Amino acid sequence: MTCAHASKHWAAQVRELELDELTFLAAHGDGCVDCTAAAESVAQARAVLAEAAVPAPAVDWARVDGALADALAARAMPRWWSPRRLMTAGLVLAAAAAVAFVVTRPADQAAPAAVPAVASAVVPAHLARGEGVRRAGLTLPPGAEVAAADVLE
Amino acid sequence: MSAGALSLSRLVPTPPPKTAQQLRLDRLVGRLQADDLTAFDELYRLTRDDVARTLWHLLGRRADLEDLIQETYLQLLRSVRGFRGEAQFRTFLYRVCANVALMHLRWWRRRKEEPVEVLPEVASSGRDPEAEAQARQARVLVERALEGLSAKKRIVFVYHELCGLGPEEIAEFTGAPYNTVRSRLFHAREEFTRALEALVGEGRP
Repeated sequence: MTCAHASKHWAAQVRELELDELTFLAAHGDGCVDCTAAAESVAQARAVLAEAAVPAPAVDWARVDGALADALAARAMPRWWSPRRLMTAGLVLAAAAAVAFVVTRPADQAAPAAVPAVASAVVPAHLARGEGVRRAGLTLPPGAEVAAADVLE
Repeated sequence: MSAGALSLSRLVPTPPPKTAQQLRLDRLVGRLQADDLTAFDELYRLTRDDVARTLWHLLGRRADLEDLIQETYLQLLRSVRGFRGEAQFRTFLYRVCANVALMHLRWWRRRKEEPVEVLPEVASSGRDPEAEAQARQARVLVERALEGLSAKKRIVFVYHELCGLGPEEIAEFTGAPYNTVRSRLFHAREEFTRALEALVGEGRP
């Protein structure tokens, strides 16, 4: 097919072209072999399409209804593993673990944290290390030398 | 209101008023968006024939139609919150159908199966057996002629030529520019006509 107008026949047959184009194509088509063949092919294709249009396909609606009902029931049922529930449960567990840690923490583990404040108030920085502290005749709780030094540095 | 706004309002076409059916669908969608699943059943009953016909035309014999209808409605349930009511609900539903069909067509192409001559049955139209046989033969021809089209061209062609949608509507729900839809339609028509011509030629003695 070599005629440049041959590809316009579908649009022409469904009236998608402007009137002047339609008029031109009708006049041109009479003497053009390509256009005549193209117009026949398009008419045939459109006739087959019209014949093939399906009013209503046969569907096993009971099967679709059943499957959709199952899917809807699953959707309506609250899921224990929904993202929001998992996040809430995680936060509750984390909070419970934190409380349990604070409550059950041994008393001697709490001492070093309290010492720096005492040490900084009572002991000058240059004395809060090693021999200097002992020479000054001060007594610090076990482990407090290091903790105080860390804070004061 | 300024003169500019007035002239602009004349240029922008106002959409036609919604029909009673469209308003009913909009109300059902609103209820569904508010997690009222009882609205789904009515929405499904009102639209299922249209969905079945559309999927049938888009996929023909390729598909287990029941599975794809189910998949379409499940996708609709998942995506219905995104429907803002600016377009018609039918357009939104066609978009879901097109997505399901596109996925299925791509999957089908990867399998590279031989064409099958048997098409899914259609509900009896009450016509005489000869006319029914002729229609069945036409469906086989159309289906085989559509084989050669790319998935995107096939979707545009089927929605325009078999479902009667305009290019604007197709552009809206496929997300493709209007001119792209026109171009795909033009090429799809050319390819379809050539394929059909060849198939009819094969059948001639």
